[in-house]
Amino acid sequence: MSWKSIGYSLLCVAGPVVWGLIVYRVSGVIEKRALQARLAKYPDAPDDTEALTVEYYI
Amino acid sequence: MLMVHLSAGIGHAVSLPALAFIGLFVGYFAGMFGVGGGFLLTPALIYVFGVPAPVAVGSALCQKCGTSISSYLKHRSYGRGESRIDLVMMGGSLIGVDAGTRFLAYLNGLGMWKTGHGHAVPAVQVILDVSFIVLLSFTAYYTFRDAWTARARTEPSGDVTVPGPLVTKVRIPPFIDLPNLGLSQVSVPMLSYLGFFLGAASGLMGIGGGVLFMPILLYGIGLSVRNAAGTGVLLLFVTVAVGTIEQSLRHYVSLKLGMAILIGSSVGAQLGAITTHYLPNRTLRLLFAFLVAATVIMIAWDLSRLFR
Repeated sequence: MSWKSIGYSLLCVAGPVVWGLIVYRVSGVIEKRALQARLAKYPDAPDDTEALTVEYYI
Repeated sequence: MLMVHLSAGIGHAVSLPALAFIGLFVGYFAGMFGVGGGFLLTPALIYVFGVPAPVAVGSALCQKCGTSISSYLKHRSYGRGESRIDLVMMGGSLIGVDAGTRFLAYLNGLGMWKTGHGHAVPAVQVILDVSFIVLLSFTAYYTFRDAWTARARTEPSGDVTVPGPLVTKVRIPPFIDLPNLGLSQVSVPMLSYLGFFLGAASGLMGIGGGVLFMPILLYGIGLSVRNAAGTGVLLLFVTVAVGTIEQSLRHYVSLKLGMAILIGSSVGAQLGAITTHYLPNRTLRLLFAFLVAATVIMIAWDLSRLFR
């Protein structure tokens, strides 16, 4: 087991994790904007961000 | 055309845009049905792209590191699930993923099997095919049954926790109380063995466990749909991260392959999630059951082709 293979293994985890964090941040912004748009259209609608999203990727 | 050579595999090139497209396809259904999509991804990599089975398993796990971390953060922000279940199951799961990876390496070392017609078939692919057929048949049966019985129900169901047979019938001490989930006296050894089983499935088949874990949480433990969705996500992330490192050290992971699929599936998952707003829950469950059943038929057909 060389340092190169250990480094590559860690990169195989770190690369997707960084992408996952980016997706999390971007989807959070999209959801927030969707909620703001809904509240602007229906001021009496409940402030429920969760209702706009779906439990993807269990 | 952007091509990636499978350094860990047989050596043929695979198109990156095509991989991203299959990621989009898998991510779409994953986002629509609330599962990880590993049950679609690993067979698709093997049958559509001709990726060697161990590399398909390892790269699917690598891709899941990204999807599971964003899922974990999202569920945590909503305060869903119970992380103590994840922690209790983690020990078993980590041993399980190690066992699954070692078993995959053992199967890979078996080489080729000769069929009655004199054809040589990869032993690892045959075992994986049979494992997928058994696992997905189990999931398809429970999902069909649930969708069918839901036809007769008039009141909304699935949002309340009712202790299932794994809680009421498995009485091996010590026990743990999970008040956040509305459960008490849950057997710790039962959860640990469950973790081992799920970890082994991840290490062997490259699945995150959603397709297996969800029926167990819903019908075995009896969690509500919302709590079931948030439970086990931390466990999933740790399991796939450890599994990826183990598989990578055995040269079963192609990072380019995993990242191409991940980029496609990230977009597909968002589109799938939007689709769910337009379909009723019962229709989604039926569609999911049909998709799983179709995958079983596809794998069985491919398996029979190997022996023809």
